[in-house]
Amino acid sequence: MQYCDECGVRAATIFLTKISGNASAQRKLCEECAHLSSDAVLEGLDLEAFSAAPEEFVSHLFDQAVAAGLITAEEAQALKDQGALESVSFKEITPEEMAALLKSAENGETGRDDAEGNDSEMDAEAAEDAEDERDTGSSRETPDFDLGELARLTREAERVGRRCPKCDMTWDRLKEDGRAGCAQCYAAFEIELREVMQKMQRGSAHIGKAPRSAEKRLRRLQHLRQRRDSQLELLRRRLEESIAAEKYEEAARLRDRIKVVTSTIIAEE
Amino acid sequence: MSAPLLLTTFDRTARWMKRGGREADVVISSRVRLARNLRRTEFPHRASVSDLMTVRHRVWQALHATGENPGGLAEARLLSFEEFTGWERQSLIDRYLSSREHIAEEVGRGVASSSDCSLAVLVNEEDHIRLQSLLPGLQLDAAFTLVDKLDDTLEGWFDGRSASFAYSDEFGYLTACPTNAGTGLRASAMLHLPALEIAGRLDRARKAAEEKGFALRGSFGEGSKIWGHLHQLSNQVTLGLDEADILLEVEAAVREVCEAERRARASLAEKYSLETRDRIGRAYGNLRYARRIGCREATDALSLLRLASEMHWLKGLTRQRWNELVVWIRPAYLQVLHGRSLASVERDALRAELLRPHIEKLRLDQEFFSM
Repeated sequence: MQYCDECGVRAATIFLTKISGNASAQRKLCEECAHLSSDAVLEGLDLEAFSAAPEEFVSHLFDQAVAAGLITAEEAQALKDQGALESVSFKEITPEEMAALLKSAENGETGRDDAEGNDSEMDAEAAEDAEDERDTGSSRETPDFDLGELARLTREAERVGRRCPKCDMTWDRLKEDGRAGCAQCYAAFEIELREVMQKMQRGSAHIGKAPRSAEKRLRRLQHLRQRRDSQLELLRRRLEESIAAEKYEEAARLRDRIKVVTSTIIAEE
Repeated sequence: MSAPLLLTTFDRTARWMKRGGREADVVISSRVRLARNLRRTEFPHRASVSDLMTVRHRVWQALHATGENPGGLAEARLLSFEEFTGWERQSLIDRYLSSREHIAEEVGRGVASSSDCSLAVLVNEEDHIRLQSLLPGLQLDAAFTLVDKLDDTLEGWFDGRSASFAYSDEFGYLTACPTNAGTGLRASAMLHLPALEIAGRLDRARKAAEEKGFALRGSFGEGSKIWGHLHQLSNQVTLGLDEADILLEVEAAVREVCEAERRARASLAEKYSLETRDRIGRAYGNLRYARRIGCREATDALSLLRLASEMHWLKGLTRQRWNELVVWIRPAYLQVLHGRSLASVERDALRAELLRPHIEKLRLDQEFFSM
């Protein structure tokens, strides 16, 4: 249990965390002192409503911002609809910040055409995820050097400078900390980690449980390959038939299509 | 002054303290932990304050939304660390619901747990999400099933909102420490090994475990300063093995150590009779009559009484009561019990007060006295 920062006597039931950049300041207050506080966030707020139903309270906060003339009623409703509530913990919203959120919504940064009622931030993550999948295909192609020494030196030079695109971690730092900075580090330092895992673990290939999304992706890929394979078979048969029937134009067309389908398969694998 | 939240939040007697599981003469409890992270957020030691708070907020949402589901955490108690004092957070460690690293910073960190502490989620410890189950005796399979189902449930919720767990086909589940990657599974058992210590065979057991790829470490303290003869045996490898393989291997290793401990216990009456009786007798006398006693001393003494009980030299001590006492006497937990911060000297006196009525009920048996 914590005691109120103001009176030090009553139990604190309201915990405020104000975040600015990477710094955070915390305050804890009992209900009486919160009522008396000159803190802009708490001014005029109905604290009973807050303790009773926090989610409804945030909606109430929007209404207060409308009453204070910071935003229009339509803007408040738009924000509620978009579920922008999800992206910031309600304890941190000040009326000014809310107005800023709405301004950015106006500018189309959190577009309304994202999936109905879904968390817009999470949808952005999904889009990035889809991009990621297309990227890993190309990053897996390590160049084939004939001179082993040259390869090692080049990798060394590369490695020293290489940073994780998301969290800016370097391999040396990772080794020193004993920890990666984020999930993307595993892709950025794939080669080094593979070596490390082979020494430290029972190899670097995971054979245990996979998340359902990974299983779904694998199944989807398998399904797609099956369809391509059967399509290819069909095309080849028709090619043979058309050659036998001396329909050379058609044969040429089929041959081109086969080329396209074949190269697609290779890219996916 | 109202009672602190933590006392009423959790059952005083956790599930792992009660009867259950196998090899209960040596194995106190089993713990299975799964480490998971979100794909798009930096790991806790690098994440910004607002990231940490967002992660925790989402986990609380997920648990709340899935609480009624078959694999969900029903009636979860959600503890956000900012709302508790230092010693309250410390008492979570005593209940095996947190760790020193976890409580070092309170911002954005938290624990969600069932009231009997059998299933818990540690948020933003070394990884974003650590699922943990704690059951009595040796029952790693049952413990794994609990966390496995919760893992599926949470993953389903996050997946449904296009925020997946960090995972790669090659490295498996991605964790802050590469030593946890792959299955993210740490299976461990807490073992009571007083006889191995008395008979001087502890090092041998430790080396045997290490050779097979397991760590046998003190639960509290390191090296010669291990408290209460309590040790933790856990797997070191998390990648390149199936979850079922890991559980099987840990279970086999645990059984081996149990056998070694039983052989040592059997030898105590013959080969180490005087030393064993002396230590047990002193432990009993101290706990029975001391007016103040430190945690280390009390834990070691209780350990010897448990040994005596398992050897049938002591009557009246149930395993559950022993499990309860070992936790209740811990410094932070004492403070939770009394609802306030306590100075060391006060704690020592209160500890003796707490123990005495329980020890008074115990009797040393005829066999103890006969030489």
